[in-house]
Amino acid sequence: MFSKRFLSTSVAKAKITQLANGLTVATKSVPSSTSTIGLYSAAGSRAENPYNSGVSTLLGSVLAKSAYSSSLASGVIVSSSNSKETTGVTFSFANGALSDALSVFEKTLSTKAVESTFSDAELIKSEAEKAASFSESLEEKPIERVLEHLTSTAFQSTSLALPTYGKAETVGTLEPMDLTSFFGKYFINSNLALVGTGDVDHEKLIEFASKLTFASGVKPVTKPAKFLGSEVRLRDDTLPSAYVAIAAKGESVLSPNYYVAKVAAKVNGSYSTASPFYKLQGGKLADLVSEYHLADTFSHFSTSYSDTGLWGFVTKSSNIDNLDDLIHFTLKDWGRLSTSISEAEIERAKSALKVELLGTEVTPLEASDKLASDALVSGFEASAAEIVSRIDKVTTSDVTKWAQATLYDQDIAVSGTGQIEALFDYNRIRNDMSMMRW
Amino acid sequence: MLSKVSSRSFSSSALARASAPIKITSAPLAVSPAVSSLKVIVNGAGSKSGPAGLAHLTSTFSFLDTQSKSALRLKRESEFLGGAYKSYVTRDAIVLDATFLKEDLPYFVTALGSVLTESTYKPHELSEIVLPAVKATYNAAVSSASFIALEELHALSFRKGLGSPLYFDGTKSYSVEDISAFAKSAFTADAVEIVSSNVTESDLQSFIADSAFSSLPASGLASSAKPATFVGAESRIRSAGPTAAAIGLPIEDASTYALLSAYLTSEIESTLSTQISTSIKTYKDASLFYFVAESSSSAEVAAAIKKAAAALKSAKGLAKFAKLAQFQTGLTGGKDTVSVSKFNYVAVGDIDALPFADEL
Repeated sequence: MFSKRFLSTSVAKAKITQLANGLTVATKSVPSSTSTIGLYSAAGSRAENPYNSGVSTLLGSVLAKSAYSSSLASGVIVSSSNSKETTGVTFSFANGALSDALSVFEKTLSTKAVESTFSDAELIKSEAEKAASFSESLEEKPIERVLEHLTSTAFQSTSLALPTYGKAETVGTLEPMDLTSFFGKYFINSNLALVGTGDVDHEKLIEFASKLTFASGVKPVTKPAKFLGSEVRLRDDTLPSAYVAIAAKGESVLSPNYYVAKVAAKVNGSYSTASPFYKLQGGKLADLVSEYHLADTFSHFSTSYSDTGLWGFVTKSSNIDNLDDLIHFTLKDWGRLSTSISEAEIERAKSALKVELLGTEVTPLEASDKLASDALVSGFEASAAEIVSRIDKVTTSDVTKWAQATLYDQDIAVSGTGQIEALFDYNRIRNDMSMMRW
Repeated sequence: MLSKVSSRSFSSSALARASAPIKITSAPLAVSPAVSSLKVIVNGAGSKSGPAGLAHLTSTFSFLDTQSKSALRLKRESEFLGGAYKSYVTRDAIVLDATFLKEDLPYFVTALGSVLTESTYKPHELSEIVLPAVKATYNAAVSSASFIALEELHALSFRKGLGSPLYFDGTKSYSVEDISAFAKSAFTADAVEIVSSNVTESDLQSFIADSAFSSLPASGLASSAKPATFVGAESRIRSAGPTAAAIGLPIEDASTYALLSAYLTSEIESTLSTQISTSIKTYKDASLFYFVAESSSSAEVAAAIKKAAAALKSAKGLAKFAKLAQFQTGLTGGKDTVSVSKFNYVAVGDIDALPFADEL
């Protein structure tokens, strides 16, 4: 009975409403036995500065922690989430228990509750210590580490340069004052979204939202980030492999070429020797890499922010002596996007992209983070039909034109850690972004 | 391009159609309406059946060469159509999982049917593809002390069957004949269950009838009796890396233990350095309640496991956690108190710092 209902109504499109006071309410039906509601601000690490780096992470975790234990018995799990452009406090519950979640929401996020949480210096201190060691633990994970530093060097001295979860040395020293002022500046109606995913009624959430009393004000503006070709090397010969990420400036969330860049990233897609099928993959680069064992894993990405993006790949290779070959052949293959990519390869990439974007199961909590970022950053969430039709429209010549303008002979950001002795100097790598002959 | 019609050409003979119908259920649409998914669950082909590790090897042979199509061709064709497939092993079953664009249903029904009926199990595939892949899966799994602790907890609680290791660990050596024989005995029509999502059921029925699924033999493994269970055992595994400790026991009354695990979740919180996990593993013929703590600090693990053991011996006021239990497991009801005197206990890692079972 449960399944039939969802099948017949099909997957609902996200509903997004902006209230008169500027607050955004967004809901989406996700088939699951649990649901999530959350309050998100369009202010993540990009809204921080070098002196309060990590304040958005800390703010979320302090608010979540203040209510976590006391609300467990009522079946509501309070947690927080962070990205470069959003900070959220979420409440997950079994379907049907929306009223419990709303009451925990009020107990956690009413003006009074927030004030009293922010005056609890002890709680803030212990959470700040936790946040600092969490930030440090991310630096221990080589793939996360190279990607964070890639973004950091590509957009150096802009708001995108600060790490998503804060710098350990800063976040550990934050004080109640920092939280209060960040909350006052960014948790205002025009910058907030109340999001419900799973089995949450849109009208009910609007009714609840209209009673919320966050401050009003003009939506804060984030300064656009500028891409700079550069590199960062954190050589560490104690790690077992070499880890490298390379990217050119990519597309923003609202760019007309958003899906073109996504398709281009799927042409070579990803590769992992842990898969039984890795030697059978169709991509030309995967073929080369497996033939000569140039890498253990690689993954191409097209990451988008509100005003800019990164297009590139991240790789792990235990074949450290041939790292130069891996990088050379990868970048040479990017060159084919501008010159000689075949229609078949683009069709394959489009199919792969569709299945990835539409076929991945998400929990209500994951859907909540995504819906919040769509509602706050782009103002809408594309339906499945829109995604399919926009991917279908991408042609081989669209990709070629895009690659000629965005990749061919363009500056790149390079980030590496582990045993990167064989990672050539910046100019040698940069030269592979163009070809003397096609 | 790739013909979706021709891919159905090797349909079954009239004789094969006489076999038992395959059980089909539909799951709620978890993905977008443009995409469908099929899960083929082969019950009784999981790691509880057959010699240790054989099910994992058999599962990893899925989607390799068949009589009608090479693994390369299947992979390249699926890439064009926009399909992703994988196979994994659970204790109960081998699960073949395919996600694809809605219009490619016949192609993937055929492909999944072929895996079960006409895989060729070639020796070079075993050494070049399957063994490296199972080794990668096994190595990734045993890098977690909690995983080792839970595996051992299964071994203590069930000894054989559900107590067998989930993955192939390399202690035994199997030939392709062993794998092929296991597949032949396990892949039968009454063992197979297909869970579809976003698929028109009548279409699926007819594609299945026209596919190799209908040539699956009818008689399967004998339905398993309730497995024997054991409590009061202890196991200590000395190893480098993080430390983990687990307690647990085979249970009947899942609702009450769902309450207990909800209670333990709120009593013993995960911290940044210590990960706590407690729940119920539900299998076809038995259930296992477990609590596991893992940390790089063995002292923190010791403290958590002592607390959990004390709670297990006499937990009161569990009814309070009904809502949390419902959120975590979907189960309702259950008793307000629990008192367990005998349970199984596993210590992994720096075991010198961990208590013995009789000290808990």
